[in-house]
Amino acid sequence: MPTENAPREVPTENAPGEVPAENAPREVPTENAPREVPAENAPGEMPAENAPGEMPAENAPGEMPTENAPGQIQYRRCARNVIISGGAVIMFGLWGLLKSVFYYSLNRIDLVNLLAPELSESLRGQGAQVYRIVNTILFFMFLLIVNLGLPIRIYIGRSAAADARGVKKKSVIYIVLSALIGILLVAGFIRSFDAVPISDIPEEVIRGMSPSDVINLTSAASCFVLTWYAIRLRIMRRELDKEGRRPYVA
Amino acid sequence: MTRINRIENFLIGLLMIAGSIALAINPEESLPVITAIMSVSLWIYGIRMMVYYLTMARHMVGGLRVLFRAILMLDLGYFAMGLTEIPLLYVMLYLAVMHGISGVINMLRVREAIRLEAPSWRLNFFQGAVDVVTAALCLIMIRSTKLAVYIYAAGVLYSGCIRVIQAFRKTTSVYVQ
Amino acid sequence: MQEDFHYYATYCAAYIAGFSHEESLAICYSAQFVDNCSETLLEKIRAPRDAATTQLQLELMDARTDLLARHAITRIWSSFHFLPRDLFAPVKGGKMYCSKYRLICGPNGDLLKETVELARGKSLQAVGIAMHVLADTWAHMYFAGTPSLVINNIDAHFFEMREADGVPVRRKIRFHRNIAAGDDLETGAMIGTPAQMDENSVFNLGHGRAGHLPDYSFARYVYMPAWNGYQEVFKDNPSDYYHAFCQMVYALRFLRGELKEFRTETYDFERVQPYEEEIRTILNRRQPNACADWKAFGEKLSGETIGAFDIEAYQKEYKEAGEEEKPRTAPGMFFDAARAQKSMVTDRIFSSGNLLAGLSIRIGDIGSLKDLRGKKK
Repeated sequence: MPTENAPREVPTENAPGEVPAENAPREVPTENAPREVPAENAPGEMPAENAPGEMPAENAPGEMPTENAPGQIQYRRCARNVIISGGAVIMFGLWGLLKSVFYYSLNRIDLVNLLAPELSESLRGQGAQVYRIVNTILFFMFLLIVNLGLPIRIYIGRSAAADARGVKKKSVIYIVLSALIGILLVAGFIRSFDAVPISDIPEEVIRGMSPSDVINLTSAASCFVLTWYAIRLRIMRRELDKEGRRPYVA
Repeated sequence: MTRINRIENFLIGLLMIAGSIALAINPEESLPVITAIMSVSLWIYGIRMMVYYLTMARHMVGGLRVLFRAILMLDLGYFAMGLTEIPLLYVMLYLAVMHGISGVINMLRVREAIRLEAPSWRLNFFQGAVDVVTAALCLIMIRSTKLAVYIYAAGVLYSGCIRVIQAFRKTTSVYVQ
Repeated sequence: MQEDFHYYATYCAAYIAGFSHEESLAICYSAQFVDNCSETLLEKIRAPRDAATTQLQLELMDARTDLLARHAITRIWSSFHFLPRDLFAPVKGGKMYCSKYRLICGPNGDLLKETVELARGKSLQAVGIAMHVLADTWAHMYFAGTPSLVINNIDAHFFEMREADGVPVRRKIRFHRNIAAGDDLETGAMIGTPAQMDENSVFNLGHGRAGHLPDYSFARYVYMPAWNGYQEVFKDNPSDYYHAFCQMVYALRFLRGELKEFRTETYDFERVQPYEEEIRTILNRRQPNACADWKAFGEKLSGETIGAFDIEAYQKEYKEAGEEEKPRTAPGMFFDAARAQKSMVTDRIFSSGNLLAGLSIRIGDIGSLKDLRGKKK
């Protein structure tokens, strides 16, 4: 920085906090001396048209560009929840797949022995490699069967996101499928209490509920949440489209 | 920090120091304990996320995402607890990744400190070097139960000491009117 | 805000308010230095670390996420860059949520008045710090100076308002993490911190999630803040920056002693009016850095040359000064003013029942510093 333009150095004889003499407000020539500012010219309250946050008229690109009518806020909330629930439907499906993989590989489950014990002995005679290959094939088949619902979940999740964003006109199939999966999961949970007398069910539910029951019920809940919000979204969209006020959803 | 925070920090710190010593005494028996701690930590993380959703995230735009993640974390914790064993491999990989990341950040700090000519670069360099060497050891001696236990115990010991020190730190801001 | 406004624009505002060229340089230097005075720099010149007014990215990444570290982060960022607008804002929710909500930054709060009044009668460095804080209340509004996902998060619903054939259109902004690529003003690909579900992650501090957009004077954008119940806000930076400039001129006139009182919601449009067109042109010009424009404007105003900001300008002087002389050097006065500002804001936050900035004790309430115990007021 050129020394002639260096920021003023504070003379050491001036105590901290005091404004040094040579830094006191510069003497203003008398013709420019601050005068008593008449009330009507004092820096005062902001005229309403220039209030903070509002754009002065000469810079305004038109009306305030936000979409905050009550219906529009609710629509955005609904759309966001459809996207999130759709993501949750996919996520629970993927988690189910991952759990199967981890469970069987970390616990080193012998699927051949589990599913066909009589075959196990004869296969062992063929050699360890053959046994391992058959085990691996069974493992992948098992994964495929147990996670058949995964492609459907992915379809539901992606359709929900596209529908909420208004990217494509989506049919109601994904909503129906979502409700169906939720019902199947709940039915599966209820069926596990088939042999239990009705009067004992509440106690049995609390005692016998396993972590996978919890995740299945939550997965079902995400499907129902998605169904609920997706239906609401369609109803709101119809009303807002009539008024030409459908808001942006990213 | 309020008095309750200080007491809490002090007690937790002492517990962590005692725990780290207990782990290091018998490495073979400590490994299942460590894997159990890691599983329980996941479950506790899920609970905390759930509480976070109920107290704060439900007010947030897109807060529903937090709820679903909380449930997933809870199930992950349950799942980990239900496994009969977590192989040593995964424990070592976890330790290697944690120390590796910490080491890289410290080295970046060293670069920044040298650029600004700050004296703190020496301490950061030492910490970074320790982390990087630890991460490398975890990968090289990936089948060593003793190493896994000692490294984990050292981390717990360090965290415990920090907590105890913090319990005694003066933290009150002074406002001179 | 960035160097173009904190350094050059502050110089212009100070000159228009009646300060001399040298005084204006001292003020604008301090205003910009607030963005550079980190603990790392203070260590280097052996200055008190509690005078830090900012934290470098790496300092933040390196910071622990425990309670004490969060207090330290909140004290710095809320005091200098995200001054809370209303510490008693009405809000529904649990205690922690309310505490974080009440740290949301905005212009014309009570704390702004106290910040400006604190600098009255003090050094030019104190004036510079006050101007930095004032300016940032406009640029950084709607974000909080504490790590918080539920306050500072943004999502995909983020649009820049552009004009096509005179008609306002929304253009989606996409945030990425590739620092090397930088901000692409034409395509709307901007840097932003990654989404982190951890409430107290430093990635959720301030306007990190929105990248540099709040600091671009030309930007007009619409988005949904995490705390606003799915309502959109429109951030009109050209207008906000102009208001910030006019308010700075008014505040600087007060600090010069020309005016008796500083009131919020008050701007010196009249004094700035002769330069309005030129200023608005600078603010509206679509460029990531307006230093050249503001510099040219400032030099035209004063007829003097404004040197570039040099972070090393006073370091040697401070390092070589004796212990008794240090407080009288420019950096020494800056550090004193910074500590005064930080302790004032921390005290106000604590007095409002909010513990996010930690505890504060008033020196008037106890005998002396030796009697300090870590207890609540």
